[in-house]
Amino acid sequence: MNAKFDDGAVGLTAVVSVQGGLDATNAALFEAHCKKRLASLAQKSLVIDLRAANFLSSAGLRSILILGKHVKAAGGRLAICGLQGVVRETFVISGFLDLFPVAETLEQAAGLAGGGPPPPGAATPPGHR
Amino acid sequence: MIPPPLDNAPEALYRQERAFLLNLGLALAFTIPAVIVAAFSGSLLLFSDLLDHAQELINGVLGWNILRAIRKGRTQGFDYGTGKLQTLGGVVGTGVYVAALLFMAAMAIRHLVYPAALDQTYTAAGALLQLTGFSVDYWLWQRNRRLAREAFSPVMETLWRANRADALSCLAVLAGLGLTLALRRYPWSVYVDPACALAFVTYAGLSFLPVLREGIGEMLDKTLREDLQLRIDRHLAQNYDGYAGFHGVRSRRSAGRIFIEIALSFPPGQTVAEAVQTSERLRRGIESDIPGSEVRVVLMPAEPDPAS
Repeated sequence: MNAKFDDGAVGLTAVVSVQGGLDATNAALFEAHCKKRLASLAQKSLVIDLRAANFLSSAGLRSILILGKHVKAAGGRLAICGLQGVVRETFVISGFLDLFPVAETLEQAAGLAGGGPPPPGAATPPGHR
Repeated sequence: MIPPPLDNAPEALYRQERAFLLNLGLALAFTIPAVIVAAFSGSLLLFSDLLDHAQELINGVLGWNILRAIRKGRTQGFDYGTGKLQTLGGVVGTGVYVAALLFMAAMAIRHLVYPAALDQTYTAAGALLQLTGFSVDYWLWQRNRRLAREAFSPVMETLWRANRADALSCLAVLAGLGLTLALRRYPWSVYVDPACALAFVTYAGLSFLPVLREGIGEMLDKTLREDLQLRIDRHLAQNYDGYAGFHGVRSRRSAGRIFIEIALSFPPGQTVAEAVQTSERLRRGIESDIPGSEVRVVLMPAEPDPAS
């Protein structure tokens, strides 16, 4: 599946945006890309921007899980930005919606990932880790 | 320290490796006389059986190679023992096997159109060889099934089921040869051998199609339907706090069972009891959610701190 990963940053938080679908063909690539991005910026927290993602398979979810643990091990936090449509549905079915804080905008997501107080309007699921 | 899974314990791996080598050695020992009787008897049924011998040899080498890789620790990267290359080898081998079956089917049809008499002495020798083959395969079937149960292992599961298939195939060939010899006084008996050979290769071909499909699915990580994969993910999410690192999931289908391996690491400060509790909860949850599945949690070294 075709996907494009774009790098960005909001303040001290690294952002990786996904355009297209995340599945078995590119999940490992995405994981490596995010880890490299974190290492290059020497940052601990990460926002995965899924606003332009149109598909997410179980393999894609697992790459997010791996990244969640990776970020946590470094003392940072992982937040998700822009869940919608079938991608949101996949998050709901798999129970991933409870794992990571989810926000609608990058700024809100960066606030959640940065560990600071969540900006107004950000959706923090109860008991997210 | 949590003990390694039973089939990955060095002693168990040696035992399994020896079982594969024994299989391989016996398959080799039978191949030479099988070629001789097939060539001199002119029996297509015996020729078709040679394909089975070849497949047995290939599977033996592949299985032994997989176990050797596991024992030598080349699976630290969590590639489920076999790895894609070995699966590819298996699929290519299977493709060659199916092509050979098609060739044998064409030969059988040709012999039905232009029948030829068989050499009775070598055909009888072939029957005797099949009887011996059945005895040996039956013994291996029982022995390897016991080994597979002692050390839960998908590889050994596959081996004993292959032994059972070989034993039954020997019986089928033996029945065909017996029929040819028993009916030899009738002029139409010349059709018995090619007809049996055609039935044999058709059955072998049909029973191999799922294997080929499964192998290709495995290479594309499609051994499990996506809804089942998502169920695994749900259990991983439910137990998220119980493990420190997640390294992947590998699944494999074998003989109607689904073998799932989940690679996790646990924080150094965690007690063994806590780690076992998480692994057990994950295993029980997935096994009850996915019918026919057998789940194993593989322990991986904890990820080094990315910050350090």
